[in-house]
Amino acid sequence: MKPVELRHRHDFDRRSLLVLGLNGCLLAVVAERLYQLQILEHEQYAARSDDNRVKLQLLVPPRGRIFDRNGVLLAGNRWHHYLHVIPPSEDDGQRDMMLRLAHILQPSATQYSELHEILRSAAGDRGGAHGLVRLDSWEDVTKVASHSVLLPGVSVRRESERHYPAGEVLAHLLGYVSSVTQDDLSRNEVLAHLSNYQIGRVGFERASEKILRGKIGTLHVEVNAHGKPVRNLREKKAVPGKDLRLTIDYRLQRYAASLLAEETGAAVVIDTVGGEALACCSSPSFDPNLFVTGLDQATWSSLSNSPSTPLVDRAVRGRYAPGSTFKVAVALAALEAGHDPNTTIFCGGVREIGGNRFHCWRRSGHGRLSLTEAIAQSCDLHFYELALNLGVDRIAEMSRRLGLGAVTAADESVNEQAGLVPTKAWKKETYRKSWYQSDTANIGIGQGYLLVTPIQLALMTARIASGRELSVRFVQGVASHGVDEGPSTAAEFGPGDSLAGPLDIQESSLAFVRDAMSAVVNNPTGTARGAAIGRTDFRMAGKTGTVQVRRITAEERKAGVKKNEELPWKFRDHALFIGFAPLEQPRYAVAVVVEHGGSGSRVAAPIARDLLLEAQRLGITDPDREAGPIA
Amino acid sequence: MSGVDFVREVDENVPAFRERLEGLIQTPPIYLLLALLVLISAGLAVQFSAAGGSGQPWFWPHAIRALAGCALMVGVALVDIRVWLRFAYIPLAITLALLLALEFIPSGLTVDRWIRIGSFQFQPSEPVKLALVLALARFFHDRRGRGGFLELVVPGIVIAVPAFLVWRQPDLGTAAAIVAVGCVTAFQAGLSLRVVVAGTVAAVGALPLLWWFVLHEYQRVRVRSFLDPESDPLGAGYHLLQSKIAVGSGGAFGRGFLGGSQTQLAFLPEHHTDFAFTVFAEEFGFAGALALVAIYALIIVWGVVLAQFVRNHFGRVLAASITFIVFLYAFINISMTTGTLPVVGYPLPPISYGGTAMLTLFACMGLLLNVYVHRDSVLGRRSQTVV
Repeated sequence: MKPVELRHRHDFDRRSLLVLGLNGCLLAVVAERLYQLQILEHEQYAARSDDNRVKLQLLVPPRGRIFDRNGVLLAGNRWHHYLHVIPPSEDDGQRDMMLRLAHILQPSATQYSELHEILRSAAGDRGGAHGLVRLDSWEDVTKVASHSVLLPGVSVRRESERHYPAGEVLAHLLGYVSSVTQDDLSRNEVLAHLSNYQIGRVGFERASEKILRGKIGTLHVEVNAHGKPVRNLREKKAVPGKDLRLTIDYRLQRYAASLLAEETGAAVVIDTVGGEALACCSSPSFDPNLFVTGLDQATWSSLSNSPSTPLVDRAVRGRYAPGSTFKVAVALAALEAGHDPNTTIFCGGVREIGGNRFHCWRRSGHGRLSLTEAIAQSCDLHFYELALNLGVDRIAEMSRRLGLGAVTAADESVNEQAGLVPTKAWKKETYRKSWYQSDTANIGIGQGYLLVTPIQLALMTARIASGRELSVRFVQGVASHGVDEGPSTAAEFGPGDSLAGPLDIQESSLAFVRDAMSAVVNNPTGTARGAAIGRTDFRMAGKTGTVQVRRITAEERKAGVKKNEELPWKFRDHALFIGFAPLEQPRYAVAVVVEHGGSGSRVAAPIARDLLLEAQRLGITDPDREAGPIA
Repeated sequence: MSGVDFVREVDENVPAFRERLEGLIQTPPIYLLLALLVLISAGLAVQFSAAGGSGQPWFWPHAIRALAGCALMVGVALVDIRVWLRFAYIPLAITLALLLALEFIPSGLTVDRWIRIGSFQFQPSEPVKLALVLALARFFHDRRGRGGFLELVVPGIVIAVPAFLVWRQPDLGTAAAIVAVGCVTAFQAGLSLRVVVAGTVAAVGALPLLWWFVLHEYQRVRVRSFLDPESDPLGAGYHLLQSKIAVGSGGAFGRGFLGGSQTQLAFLPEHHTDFAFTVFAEEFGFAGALALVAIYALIIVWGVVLAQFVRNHFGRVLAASITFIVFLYAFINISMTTGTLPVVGYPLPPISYGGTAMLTLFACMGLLLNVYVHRDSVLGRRSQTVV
């Protein structure tokens, strides 16, 4: 061997061992790194691994349903299939997904734009809120299901949507639900994680939101990288919302709606035994189903800006002057104050009070009338006299005893207006003016400051008919209920309340007024004689009211007061009627208001009659549950 | 042999240690083969787990390739080392031709870095490393001690051409590995110290140029995301982050075979190829991962120790440089999956799925065994007659 060879060999040994040493160091770095990741930082990475694989799903319970008193479904849940899309994070993936979906589904224009919105908005938002697109046909569902391999992150979900089978017939009372808004999110951010969640906005849906919505459950799901669930880890079941059973009878409600269909106004029927609202109808109405899926701007503005205000529930929030229907309250106040009903008062058609001329509706006057006749013929001058003798505060006191000036429902299930029962003190406080005689006279015929709602009129009538201090009830009961199949039976709802106590009014006074109200309908001189019920066991009693909405000037009176038909619609009188039936053993009380309908006797009374007849024909309330004789 | 005596004289202070090392090499290479068996088993376990506990689609092809690899290894080992010396430039010529083919043959037969013939795919950038080692070993075997201009230029060209072609594919990781393998081979084979120092200075100086003119934008993004992976967890850093989560969540003893949620739920991308080690580390923990590193280390030490006792320069350079190829597989891939190197797409045979890398590794092992068999042969320069 030559030395040069040996030198090279020595070089090689040194250099290869140097490289080996270097490699050894680098492998030591690798081992150290593994130690750092797997031992020192293990917990951190284990937690992140769980974050990856475990997703919390919020389980939305089915919303409680709403039934009428006979178990007819008024608000339920309809199940639909929805396309659930977790958008890919990259732009290319989104475009690709869109193309595939478009090819497989052949979506409609709206579906396409919804899909586009979802894929665009949720970009890069792994695990955030996901969009839903409703699939309308079973065919679409199977298309997506059979192409699931081509559509990672896309699945079909079954979710419920609120549905109102009654539609316009019961829109105001039930209200509606709608999707979560930005405003809701600012109050409760959890809502952002619920897909398709809906919140009650108006009516029972809003008032009973806590009962209806149930409790949200949680589910920890193991998911893969595409967000597809692999298995359930642990679950806290959702508690379904409770069902509500209303006192409303859907048949009567629908009938009331049909009677009012061409009118603007309200009709309320309540049961005089338990104060249960049997029909509570406001016209015009709207379709609450429109709000569930989301209203477009045009529909919304046409509903909210319409001069006939279809969104307002006139039955419980419409405030009207009661007009002559209030005369029964004045008569009761007079009788309770010791007025002899046989005293006659002369009506010459006009008299002067506090410097103003006050007219009777009959220009020629009624002559001398007793109280019964005055109620039956609705003599205005008679009631000016009574009111002036009583003073406003005693009338107000009686009004309150009859349920006016306050909400009628015992609970807060309905958003009512309280109306207005004026007193001297009220006027002083509100207008800083003294109370005048002319104010009292106006109250005597149910005009002036006095304002009542149709449901208050119905309650007043029911109290007079029953002699009991009733409150209006809208809810019969609440029932725990599971899934949305078939109506539940009556036994599941709690029993009704016990009977209300007697009114603080002498029975003789009430009996007198009831007879007088019978005379309104059944006497040949009564103002509502045209609406009398022929069948003796179904006979009704009532009181008409025709309310001026304009001031009649002295010149016009000279020229002759214009007939309603000659006036533009918005200047025509409001037509009112209150009544109860059957005459001998009252079961149903009714109040009807037809805005600008004209005469109470010609327009409102027939509607009231038809409602009372229908209620009796249907035999809505339990005949075994009698009010019993009133002491 | 006088050569051995000479070394003994030089290393008088550690003769006992050297004898012990020689003893390790004198025994049949049973430890090497056992280590290889363990690696193949780990690879099969990973391929089975990555498919969610199924033999298809990766486990069985992987097993067949491993068998083919073993056959190749035995074949390579049994061929006389003089044949390898004689035809040492041929593999480099063939692989360079294939790389050029990738460059010039339009798609159809080729896809990115693959040559496709029927259902058979071949990735020439893998065997080119071994071919380069063979060629450089032969070059320095012939030229040892002569020095001069050629010793700088020829290795420079032989390293630069394949590295450039692979970089064009583009496959930065493999290109860098080719440069590293070439330089280390030349360094060990006896490149003069002046060249080594000059080359190192030049390389450091070229780094900024490399960054701006050689790297593609997506490669720069990868390097940046490597430096701060959390900044863009769903973009370029996603792979690395998911890999680190998988490795880290494995803990001391792992989540159990088929129990790694990152793997089984597909959060880990490329889990049967580039991130196969991650699967192993997630399911078998620090204990398993460290054992794997130790086995690679064992093979590397065995190879370098063997090199010390080979009596021909060709075999010496081959053993040490082949060992370096194995080291690079382990080091680059594991560092990449644990976040100490950028994600460059470098496989870890025989754990990773992929035939070319696997066959390359077995060819390496075959040559290593070949050198072991012929460790006492004395080979002359090809220009002279054999002693």
